[in-house]
Amino acid sequence: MKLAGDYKFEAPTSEVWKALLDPVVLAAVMPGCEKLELVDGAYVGELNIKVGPVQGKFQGKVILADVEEEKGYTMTVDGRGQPGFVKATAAVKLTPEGEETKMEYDADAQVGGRIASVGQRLIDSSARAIIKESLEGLNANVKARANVAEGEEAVVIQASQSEFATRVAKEVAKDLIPPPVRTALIVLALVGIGALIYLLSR
Amino acid sequence: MPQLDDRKEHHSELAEGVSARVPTTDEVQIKTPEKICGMGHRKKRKEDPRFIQGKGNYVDDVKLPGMLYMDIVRSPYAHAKINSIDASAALEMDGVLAVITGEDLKAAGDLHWMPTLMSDTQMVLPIDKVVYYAQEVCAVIATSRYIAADAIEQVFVDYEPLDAVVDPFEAMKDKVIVRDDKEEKTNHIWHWEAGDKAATDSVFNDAATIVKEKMYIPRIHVSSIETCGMVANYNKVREHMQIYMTSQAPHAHRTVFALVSGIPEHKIQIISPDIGGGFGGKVPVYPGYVICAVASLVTGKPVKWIEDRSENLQADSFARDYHIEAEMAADKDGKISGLRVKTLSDCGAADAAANPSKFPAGLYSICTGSYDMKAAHVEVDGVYTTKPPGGVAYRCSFRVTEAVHMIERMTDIMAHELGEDPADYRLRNFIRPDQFPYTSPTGWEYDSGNYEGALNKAMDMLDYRALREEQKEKRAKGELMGIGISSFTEVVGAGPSKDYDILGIKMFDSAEIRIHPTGKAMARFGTKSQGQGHETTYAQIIAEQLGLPADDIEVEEGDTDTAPYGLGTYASRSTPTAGAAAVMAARKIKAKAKKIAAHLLEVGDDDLEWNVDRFQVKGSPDQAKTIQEIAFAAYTNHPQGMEAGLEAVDYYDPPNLTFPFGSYICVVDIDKGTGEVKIRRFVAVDDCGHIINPMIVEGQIEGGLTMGLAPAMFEEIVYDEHGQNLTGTFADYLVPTAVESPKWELGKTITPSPHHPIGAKGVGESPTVGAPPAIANAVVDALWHLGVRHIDIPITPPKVWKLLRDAGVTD
Repeated sequence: MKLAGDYKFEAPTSEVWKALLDPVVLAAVMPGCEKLELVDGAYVGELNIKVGPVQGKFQGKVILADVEEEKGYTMTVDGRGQPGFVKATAAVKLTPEGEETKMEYDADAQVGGRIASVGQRLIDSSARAIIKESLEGLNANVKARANVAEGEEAVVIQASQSEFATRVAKEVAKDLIPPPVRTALIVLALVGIGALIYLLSR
Repeated sequence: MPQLDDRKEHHSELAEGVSARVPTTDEVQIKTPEKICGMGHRKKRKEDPRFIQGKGNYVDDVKLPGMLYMDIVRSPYAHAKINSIDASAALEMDGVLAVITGEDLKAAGDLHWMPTLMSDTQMVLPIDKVVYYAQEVCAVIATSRYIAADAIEQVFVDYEPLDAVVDPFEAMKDKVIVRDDKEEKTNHIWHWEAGDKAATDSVFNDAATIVKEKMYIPRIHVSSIETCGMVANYNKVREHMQIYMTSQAPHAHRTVFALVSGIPEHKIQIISPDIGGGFGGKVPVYPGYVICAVASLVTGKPVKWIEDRSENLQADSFARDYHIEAEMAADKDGKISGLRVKTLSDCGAADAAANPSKFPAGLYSICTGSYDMKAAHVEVDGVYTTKPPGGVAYRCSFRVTEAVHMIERMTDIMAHELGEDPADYRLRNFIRPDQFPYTSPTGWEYDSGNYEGALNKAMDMLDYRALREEQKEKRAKGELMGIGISSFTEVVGAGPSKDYDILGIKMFDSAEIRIHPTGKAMARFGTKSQGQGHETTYAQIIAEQLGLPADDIEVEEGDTDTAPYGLGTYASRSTPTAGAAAVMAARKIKAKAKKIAAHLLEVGDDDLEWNVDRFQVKGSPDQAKTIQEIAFAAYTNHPQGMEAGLEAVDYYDPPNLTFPFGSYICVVDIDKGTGEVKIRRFVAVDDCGHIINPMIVEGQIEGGLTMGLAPAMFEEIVYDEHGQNLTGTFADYLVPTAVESPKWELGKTITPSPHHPIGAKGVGESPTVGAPPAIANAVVDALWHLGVRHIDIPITPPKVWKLLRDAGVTD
């Protein structure tokens, strides 16, 4: 599976770079990340991932190579868990654009196990949604850090797991369901909830 | 276990009369009154009241006191080294009793490997590496199904991924060796040939026209409603193993279990209760069965294992997966003269097909089909890949589906190439009825046939000529309509003991009939119904022979402690083998009944004649004894010097296979914008010889046609380049429903088998074999004028749409 794209951070490259190497920030913005530590130059952590009907814990290891200060690196991800495994390499490149920073990523991922065979048709859109949400979260953090006055500690902004899951689910739905149907489904869901409240209140 | 040697197919000489010219009729024979309900009656199925009321008894319905549950940890990799298995977290869970690994099975007496039915070997549980995705890695035994399912998530296996080899052509290059346990480091398993190479080459040298085509018959799955499962119940005091199991061949499985486990065979009882569909998928022995039995042996408690749907789809035996390269030659008159076929059989990680031992490519050499030609030569190579093992005969008699698809596609291609109508081309190339007894270029002696009769009937049913006119008019308007024909010949009922065995056990089958004093009967068989209706049809066969009402005959199968030994039900063999055994056993009973009747009537044996349900004195029909009176006398007043009782058993060794046939015609309309193929009409004329129960035959044909539609348009097991199964649920593996199925229009001709005691041939698989090429031929027929020569099945809308786009018909 190829995943490529770009994203614009509303902060200077130096701030983005710092955040990209900080396990605390990364753990906060990655979906379902329960732990992320820097051990012997590698980021080691645990990730709870949900793709379609498949859910489970991954043990992951991220190694950075070809690190060029404030310019980019190559990331190798090796994640394994009961629902399957993920193996990926990603090239990340940063380019300053005035006060903003453009990030380009180009990843090649191999996903296997139950997560691939059962959630196959949801993997692409789930992966894109997870990346998008992670980058949004990262941007919020980078912006906050850039605005923190000298000498003060930056507060890590972290979305709750359920908030994150909802946003990812919305992204996936956008990807899979055409807009007119989506509206119809939302209307249907609202009517259903209304009916349920009515019935319960009787 | 020895590796299969390279081999060339030979057929033993058959007795005279096993292939003969037999007249064809249209009418089902009925010789017994309604109350007896012998052959030809549309008797409602005796087994249905319990099925439609939800009172069937399947393996998962078996609940024994103190029963434990098993679940299996499966590999997420298609090919990987196992560095370690850490089950400590699982073992700490409440309710988890044991985790069984390959090492445990090895310690229990080298049970980590088992033989396959093709004399290859297959891992039960791995020690050092896995060779296919979803392979069994270890098993958890727990006090509930839920705990077992939770516990498998707590087993941590450290894998070191190895390169997968998914494409069999790549596998033949031996860059990645799948089975490094073997002495020879190659993925090539066997090479097999049939027919005469030199004669075929010479026919091709003299040919006026040669057509060639490559085709792939995709890997599919039987996807029966009931998945596989077992309840193993080892009694340590009695040293007795009782097994409930989804088995199409309980006796053969008992013998395999005895040989593998070392438990004496008389201490093993296998019970195959009601089965929710087998279709060949419940013939092989799966690792899960062996682990479950070992778990019961170790714990001394009953252990239940039932696969879930995804396990069933991903790990159980696949079917088909043949890569075919075919060439057909025609002489200057356009008559088919020869066939040359090379095929690569992707076996997965073990040769675990269920073919007769001498036939590693099954009965694939039937591939000259219904056509008379001078010579043919067929070669098949078996190859290992890092995919699940299998190659089962999915509702077909050992690779006949692949053979029929190839010959029916090639015949259509040749007809189109020569500019001839595919129906007329078939009619002038068929083996004619007056050519019987007939021996095919690859050595088969077809028992009987009338191919033109079946095709003419099918053409009449839908007014073929008018449809061709309509097609011309539509084509002129730019509309896409196609007509496809398949005039298949099946080969079923394996088989004569000279040539047919599985692991050395000859492929006879058996029946035992016991008539009780009050004239009611119990009949037991070595076969095992999985929905075919044996309880009804076997009773009708016996009713026809003995005049006992079919309702007075209880049919029982599947318990190895009570049923006579047999090889089971698959490959449409029940009626040709066990059905024949029922007739022979009934005739033994009848011979004894005659003696008893003579004794009761105080006449000589020769003075008696049989009349439906009684022996009567010739010329004096009032003087008679019914079968019920005779049965009573057999226990109360039998002649002195004669054994009491009225029972018989027969092990029937068929003198030849049977060759059912038929002609199917499919009419399709194709949507130019979407590539969607709509089946407008589908006419199926089947000839399965004498019919035992027309209603059951029609049900079999309708079900079989739907299972033929499935691979033609929907089903395929897909792997990515790393060997990951991408079709592991019914969301991605598309089984057709009533919505996708057209109205099936059935017709029949009856050309009895000359060697079967009641002239029957078997029918369960003909429609699955015959339907796919009819559909494929119809689609290609609609697109031939656009330059389309062949489309691999499944024919999905995207495939057709791309062809239309390339031809400039749509954008």
